[in-house]
Amino acid sequence: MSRKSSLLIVTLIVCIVLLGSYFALAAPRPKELSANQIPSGGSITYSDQRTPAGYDVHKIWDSHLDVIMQNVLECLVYEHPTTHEIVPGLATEWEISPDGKVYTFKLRKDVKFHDGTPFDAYAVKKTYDRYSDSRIASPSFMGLFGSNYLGTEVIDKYTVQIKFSAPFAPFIVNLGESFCGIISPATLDKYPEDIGSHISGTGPFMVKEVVPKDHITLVRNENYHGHAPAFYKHQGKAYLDSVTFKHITEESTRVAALQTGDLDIIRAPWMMVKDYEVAPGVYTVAVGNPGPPGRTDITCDRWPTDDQKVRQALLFYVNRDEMLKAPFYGGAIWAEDGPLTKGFWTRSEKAAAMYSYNLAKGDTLLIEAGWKKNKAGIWEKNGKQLEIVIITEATPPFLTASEILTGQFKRAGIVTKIRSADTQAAWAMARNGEGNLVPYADTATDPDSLFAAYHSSGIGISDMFTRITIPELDSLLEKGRMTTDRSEREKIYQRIQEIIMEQALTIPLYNSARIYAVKDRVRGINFNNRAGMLMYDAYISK
Amino acid sequence: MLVYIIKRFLAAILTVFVVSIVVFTMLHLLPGDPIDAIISQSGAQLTAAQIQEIRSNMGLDKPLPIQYINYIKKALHGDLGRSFWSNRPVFQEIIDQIPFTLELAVASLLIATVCGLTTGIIAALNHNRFLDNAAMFLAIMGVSMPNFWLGLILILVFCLNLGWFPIAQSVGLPALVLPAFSLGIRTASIISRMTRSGLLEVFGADYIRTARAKGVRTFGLVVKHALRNAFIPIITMLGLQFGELLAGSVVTETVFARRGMGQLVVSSIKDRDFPLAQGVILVVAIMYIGVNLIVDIFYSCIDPRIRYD
Repeated sequence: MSRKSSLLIVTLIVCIVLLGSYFALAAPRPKELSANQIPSGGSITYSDQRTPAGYDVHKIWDSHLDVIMQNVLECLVYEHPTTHEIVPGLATEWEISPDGKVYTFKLRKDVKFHDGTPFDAYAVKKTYDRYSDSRIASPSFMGLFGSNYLGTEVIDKYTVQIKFSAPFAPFIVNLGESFCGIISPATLDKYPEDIGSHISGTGPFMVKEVVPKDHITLVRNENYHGHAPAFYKHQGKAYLDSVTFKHITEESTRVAALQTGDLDIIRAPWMMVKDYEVAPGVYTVAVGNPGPPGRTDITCDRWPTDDQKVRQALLFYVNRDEMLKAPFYGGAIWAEDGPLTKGFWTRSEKAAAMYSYNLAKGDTLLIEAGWKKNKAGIWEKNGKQLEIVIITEATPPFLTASEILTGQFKRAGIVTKIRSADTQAAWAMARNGEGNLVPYADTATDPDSLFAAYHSSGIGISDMFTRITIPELDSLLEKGRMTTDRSEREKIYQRIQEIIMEQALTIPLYNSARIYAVKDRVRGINFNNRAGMLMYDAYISK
Repeated sequence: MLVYIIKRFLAAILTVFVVSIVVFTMLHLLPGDPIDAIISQSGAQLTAAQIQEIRSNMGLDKPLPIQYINYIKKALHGDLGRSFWSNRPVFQEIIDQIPFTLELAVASLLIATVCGLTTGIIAALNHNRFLDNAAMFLAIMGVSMPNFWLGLILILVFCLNLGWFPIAQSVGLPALVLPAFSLGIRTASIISRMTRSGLLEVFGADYIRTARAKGVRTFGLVVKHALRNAFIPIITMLGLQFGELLAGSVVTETVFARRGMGQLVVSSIKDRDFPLAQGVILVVAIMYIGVNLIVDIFYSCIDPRIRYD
């Protein structure tokens, strides 16, 4: 064998070995220790795939910031992640007025902020006054408190009222997000412009070091005692000495840092969950994202998707199972078929069952709509080919989903073009109706998230890409957010989902689950109702 | 000479102004602005009056020329505004990150110069022999390899498999070596080829033959006589490459998870954080123009034959 050939073979082998080591990571989740065996101490470093623009929870609405700050800030109440009941946080009791406009909270009396300031009703009011201040222009405030917020009033030292001009049913669940966490009034006074670098809450961890765009380090709050919400497994101090949240956006680097031990937990690429060789040292945990699934919304005021039959045909042409099997697809663990994810409390199975992969049904609809296949197998009508434009962010999974859909639509006889751009530019084009399909995904703990996606008031303004006014849908969405009765809400949202699918406003695709790769030594992690990792029960197993 | 320097300095100031106008205009022409981001994230819950109030608080309701004039007035007093999202002064955001980018740029320039000059000299002295061919092969490889790919391979081999260097750190010499190498190798390759061809051109000159005949040793021949004459285009290239290195630092900082201006500029544009993006690009432009100004002035030190009227 010549020297050149030997060198080539050796190079190939080295590449294969290196590539193989990249993938051979997953292992089953190790057994948890019993409560009396759990040791205290140790530090972990966690890296998500995003870098928050800052750490001011009022100005920045970012899921990774939520994961960080839920360790530092506490909320009045929380939604239990498994039972979905509302459980006490900093409030011990609460009452909602019969008209749904006034929320009265009785507060804990034994809590102090990290800077020593006592927690009381004044702190709640000061936090929410800043949060609602138009100069802060908080995007999350509007989403979580709605547009009918009137104000927060101190009734006495440990009683506070939050008032609305109209009921806003999602509010009580939304209050559990860390963006609604209570911040020390002393810190708000001292650092009004730069609260992000000096945030002080009542949580089990406190901020030790902030290095913007690089990392934030939290240390255990030694004064935390006995008021952790019921979904945690223990009370008292956290087990870990410290947690560092490092921001590494490059996926390969994040995985490599996990393997070298520089990181203990990462938000892992989705491909790490599937069919990996079991290897010691790392286990993976997949947590489904609740609410609307990863999907492709359909713009209804642009040819040819302004025709309902064309939209319905697209739904029959999509093969979700094939999509999930595509190599290196930045997809997720399972397919989704309805406007709300499997297991979500208001999910409509009837809506989810309306469409499944069926080329013949899709063809029938297009024929009924006056389309005919030309010699090249492309649908044509009045001399025009059936062509659709997908507008997408130029990042996986949206770009990958667009590419796969292009292939599936081509098989069905539809010409597809992809216009990709950075996030802001893509959403701006989509809001203006410059395309037919828009891949999208978000997380929500309340079905009111369907309002932003499907209510006609958002046309051209919010991420309402369907750009269609359906009076019955608008009316039900408005009713759903104002109805506080749970079973009544369930019926309303079931009907909303049926309309969405009858009108073919969206193509549900997958659950954009969060995948975490965790070093064996780290145990005790669990998750909130938004699939965000919780560190309070986490420990290092020696 | 003084007149020349003053003229170049005034031209540099004018260039910075033009850059600031171009950057300001282009940012505002991009689809989507921070108000759009707030509105869309809030689920369109805002009334028209609330949107107008937010726009006014951010100073985005005024005509573009007025916004620019307000911006430049403050900038001349050292106030580059505050980041829309973090609310920290833009100046502070830049100060936090610039040392890391400068460190990376200087280190990669050093690697590029040392490696490039060395291989170029070796290639020129061994023209048409094995070392010349090997050096030029390496130069082609260096120019062809994308720096993000090289960075990932370096991480795989030297961090993951050999454990010689740390990952995702920004402080300390060990954390600088691989990023500087991955960023500098392309410039080294260009310098290597330029050095080789420059020296080969100079080696044929009469004065070199005379110096060789007088017994000047190879080292002295190359450094004292040949290289000084071949150095002008290399200096020009180094000045221009500084800008390439600043641009390349974006990818290198992302791959190696290093702090720096590269990541700052990308995230500020993605997030439509206008004050931050404007401030960062302005500072980078000033750095680039400044370096090239120094290179221009440095010419006459290298080659006394160059005079400026």
